[in-house]
Amino acid sequence: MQRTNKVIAEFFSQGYRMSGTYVVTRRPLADEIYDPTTNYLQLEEAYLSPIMDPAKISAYYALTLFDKSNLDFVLTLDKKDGLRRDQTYGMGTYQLSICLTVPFFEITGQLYLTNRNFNPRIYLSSDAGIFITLLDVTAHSTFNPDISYQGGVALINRAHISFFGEITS
Amino acid sequence: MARILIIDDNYDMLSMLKMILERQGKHEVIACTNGQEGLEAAFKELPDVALVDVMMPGMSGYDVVKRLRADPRTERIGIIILTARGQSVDRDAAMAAGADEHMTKPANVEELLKRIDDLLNRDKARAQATNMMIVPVMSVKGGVGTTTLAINLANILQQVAPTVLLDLAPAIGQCAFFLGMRTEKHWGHYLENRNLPIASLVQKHPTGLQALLAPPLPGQYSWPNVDTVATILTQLTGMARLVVVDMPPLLDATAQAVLARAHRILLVSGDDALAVQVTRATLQALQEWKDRLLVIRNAVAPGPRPPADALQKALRVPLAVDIAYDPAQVTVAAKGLPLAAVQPKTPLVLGVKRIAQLLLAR
Repeated sequence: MQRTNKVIAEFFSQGYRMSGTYVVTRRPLADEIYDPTTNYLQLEEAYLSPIMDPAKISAYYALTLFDKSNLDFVLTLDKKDGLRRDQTYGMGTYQLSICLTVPFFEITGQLYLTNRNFNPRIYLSSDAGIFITLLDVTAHSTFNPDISYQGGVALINRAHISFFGEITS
Repeated sequence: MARILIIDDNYDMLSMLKMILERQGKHEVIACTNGQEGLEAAFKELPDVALVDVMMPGMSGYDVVKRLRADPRTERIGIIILTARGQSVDRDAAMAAGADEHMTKPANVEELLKRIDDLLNRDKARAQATNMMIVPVMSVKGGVGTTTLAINLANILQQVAPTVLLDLAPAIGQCAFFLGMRTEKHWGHYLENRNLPIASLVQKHPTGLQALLAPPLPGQYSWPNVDTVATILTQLTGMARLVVVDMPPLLDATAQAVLARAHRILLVSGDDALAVQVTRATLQALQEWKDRLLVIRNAVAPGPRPPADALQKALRVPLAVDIAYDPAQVTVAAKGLPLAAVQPKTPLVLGVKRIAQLLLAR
């Protein structure tokens, strides 16, 4: 089916799940999320669900604004919808399996790096941007571990990460 | 070509789906932009399949599906939830609401068309199954002639439409005995090998009567469970319009599963005090299906009989058919033939013909 200029993504923040439409007129969703010069993200046709009952639609907003700093993470099913424009050309040669926690969720996924020598402390404190990008993501709800969300990409708010670790096989 | 209802608040998505289904699927499409409008269209147009978005202002797709399932006019239509919410929790919610399928946007066109076709084919099979008439012949008390009635009824009905006699007696092979058939094949073989098609176990009597017999020896096989009986009946739909079931003298879960699928239930009663008492108790137990019951009195021994009025008063239900004792049955049964096939004017056969008329008239 033909793709449109709209991206529907899942936005998780402070115990809520919001499925909303981002209209890709100027730039991709991830560029908008990563942009440190803007505080808010505008969504259309947003549907809110409490995280404890995530299939229930408790509210509808034709238009809504998000304070990006309050987001825990954003999830897109399709990888193309969740990458920055520059990331579509390549994301690094080295791949790390990562497990991290944000409020209400435990998230696992793949982190792509340009440098083999990975130091989590340096990565979290000095790398550019308030969000980090994980690929092939599974997010487990802390209070309902049976409920999980899967996506091609998750954009995770660094400031909301509590635990961060590399998964060693 | 089928009639497809699409309910989606996104006009672009609605137009695209409409175009795809009309051009590639060759379907007739009814397009609605919100849940309320979609419900009204569904109740008016009675579509074959509905594609329902979840995230819509006002009424959500889940609510639409619940309302469609709650209404007798639309409770059986195929429903596909087509949504951008593609997580497992969303799939579970769609199924819990009553949807048949859950697909994530943007959907693959071929996959969508295939799922619609699958639902349409399922509905055809269902309609075929609905057209099949299942008629259990039962009595909780043995010795009142249920097998004789079932055999003769099947023999008469097969002249009207393809009919199968199903012997569900718990492994004693009564139908085979009365029909003089060898139980080379029976439903016990299906219990041994679930891959066997039921049709391969159906045998044909020289009179043309088709029968799925019971195993000949008691204790050789376990009594079929609810799922097994459901499979047997479903598979018989492919080869018969009518299935006459010689029921066991039981009212367990398996027997009740057959009764639940039955279009008419023939409850056979005798004349003696015990038979009347058992029939009364059975009638109480079958209250759930009272509208489908036909009570038959069958005399299996010569001698004086209580008047039909007295029996009806005792049972508190009218007798659908009252069959007098027929001595011809004893002699013909020994030859392995249904009485209806050789002596069409005897009291028993005339009574069974009356039953057939009642069944076919309804």
